[in-house]
Amino acid sequence: MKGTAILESRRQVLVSRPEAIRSEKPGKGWDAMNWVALAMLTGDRAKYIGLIFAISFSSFLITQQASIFAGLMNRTRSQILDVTDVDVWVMDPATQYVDEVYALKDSDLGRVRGVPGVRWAVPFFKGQPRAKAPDGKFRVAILLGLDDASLAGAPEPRRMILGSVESLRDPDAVLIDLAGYHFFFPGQPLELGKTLEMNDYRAKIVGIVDASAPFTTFPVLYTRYSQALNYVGRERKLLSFILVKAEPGISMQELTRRIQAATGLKAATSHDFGWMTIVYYLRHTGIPINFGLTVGIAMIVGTVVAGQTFYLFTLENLKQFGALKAIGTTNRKLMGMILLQALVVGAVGYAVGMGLATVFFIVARTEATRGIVLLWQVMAGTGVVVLLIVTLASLLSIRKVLVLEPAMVFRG
Amino acid sequence: METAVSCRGITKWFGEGDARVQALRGLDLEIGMGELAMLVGPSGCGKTTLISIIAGLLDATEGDLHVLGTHPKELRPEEQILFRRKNLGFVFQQFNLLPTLTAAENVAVPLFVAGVPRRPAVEQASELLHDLGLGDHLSYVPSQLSGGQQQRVAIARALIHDPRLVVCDEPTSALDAKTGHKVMELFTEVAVRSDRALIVVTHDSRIFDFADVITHMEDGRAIGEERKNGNGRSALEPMAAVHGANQPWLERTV
Repeated sequence: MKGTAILESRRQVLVSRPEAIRSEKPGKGWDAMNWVALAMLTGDRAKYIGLIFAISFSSFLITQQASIFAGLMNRTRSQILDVTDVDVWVMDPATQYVDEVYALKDSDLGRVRGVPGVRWAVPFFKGQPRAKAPDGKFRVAILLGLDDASLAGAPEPRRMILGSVESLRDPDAVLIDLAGYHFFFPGQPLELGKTLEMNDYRAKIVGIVDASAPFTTFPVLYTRYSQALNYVGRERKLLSFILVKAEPGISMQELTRRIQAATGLKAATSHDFGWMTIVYYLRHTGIPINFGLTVGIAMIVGTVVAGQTFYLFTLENLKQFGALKAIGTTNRKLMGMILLQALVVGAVGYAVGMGLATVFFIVARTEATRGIVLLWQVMAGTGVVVLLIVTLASLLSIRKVLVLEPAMVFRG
Repeated sequence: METAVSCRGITKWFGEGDARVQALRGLDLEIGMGELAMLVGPSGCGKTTLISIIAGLLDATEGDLHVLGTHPKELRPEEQILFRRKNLGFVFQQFNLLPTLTAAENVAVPLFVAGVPRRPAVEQASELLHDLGLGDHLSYVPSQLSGGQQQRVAIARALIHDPRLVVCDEPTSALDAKTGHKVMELFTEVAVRSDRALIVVTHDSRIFDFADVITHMEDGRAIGEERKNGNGRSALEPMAAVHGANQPWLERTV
């Protein structure tokens, strides 16, 4: 078809075209222009993969490091969280965290019991004796001594892998955590009756517990309070903590205030004591700096690499963006296109990063890393960070396109 | 003949202070509907600046400009964009096709911009490409097309939305002589209409024969005009004679 026939054909097509072409209102072309934006983005495979890699790397590293950090911090309060049947911990007023204890006087127990609102209060011991296996292998252990009568502070029944808490009433009885059992009896099947030695006293394993992993990787042992005193050797004062159950209806805030006022001791709810311990580790160790540094570097690297790649991508397509502007694309639409590209890169990179993090935590799941898991809170936080990264990364490109003079398309 | 573009005393300055440069110096020009007008002249004479101003991509510093009966200066920025979107088609020297879109998708871009959904826009673009002899190359990306084919795609893109003014910047300079000639043949065949004007900036004297009117530019001014008549093309006529203006520089430049 040539000449007049073509003109007539064109005219027919153009006369019957959608009304949108005559539209006075911009913005109706979102769908097709979004598609153009995505075609521009994914068409350059190398840059697209580079962008995805940058975001995946960042989100993986941020998630992995933040999850490990959160897991480690959670471990610092493991012994507090594992005591589920009490409301308040009472301790020496100068206590900063759970692992460093200045023992209370035995008479303090009676004073706490006398505080109105206290339903019951029991002694709780926490110490670190050395435990020795029959083959001579030894290790510092975390020993928790429970009230002889009530066994308050014992692991929840659902956490018992073998044996029962009640067996602690037997002579020389201890419960041991699974990781501790594997340390002292490597390669051996789980069975009760095996013995350890602490301070020349025999400790007979009557139960195996799935205890929360402690901050240090020491074995965790539970025994009766009176028995614990034998295992660590007699000191003048050995009462580490007093565990308190509140009367129904009293607020924890009021109860802790009353205990502190009546005894001069520090009282904190399990929740508050747990956070006290975490804050201690945050303030007094280099852990947050180390992890924060890695997370920060991941963010910077992700932003810089993604930003640079994005900017190069925009520079290479500047003529095309100019042509789009000349043709009648508004700045708002171009900005939307770039932001869409950034969001898609962010979403795909984030998904790949989370996939990698999931694989990492599955592969790295061992007894030593128990309790260190991929947290949904960290995933959500990483999502926000990725959003920030891609937004920052696209800002330079957006600026470049916004200030672009469409007349540049006529310059060679 | 209805006037498509009318320029009176158009001047354009770029830069500030000592770096200030005058690109256009009181230029007069008139292009009628149905005409294929060529702007010719040496590099740096202001051709590109002039078509940028006519196309609404740059503002003139001074002067009076009418494009398709509209004063672009009187339009708000968003109205200028809409005006361009509806009424102007562009053919660029380097084609400026989107490298990751197919030929049909590239042609459909002005329709996308105007809000036409993708499928009907691409169908319409495919029809046009078929008419232009690229029916077998609809799904080719620009890198798979020759220079001539890419320019045909660019021409289709300039015409797909039925603009009333088409602005072309050196449409044949990136093509060999034979391909350039073929492209211009096709271009005049499909683009020249009584209700449309075409402005072509070119250095390429081999395509002058396609012009209805050739405006010669030098040093930011239109210095003369050649017009096609029944016997071929008229001799170069000074702009003063064309527009009746008092332009003392004509004696010096013509």
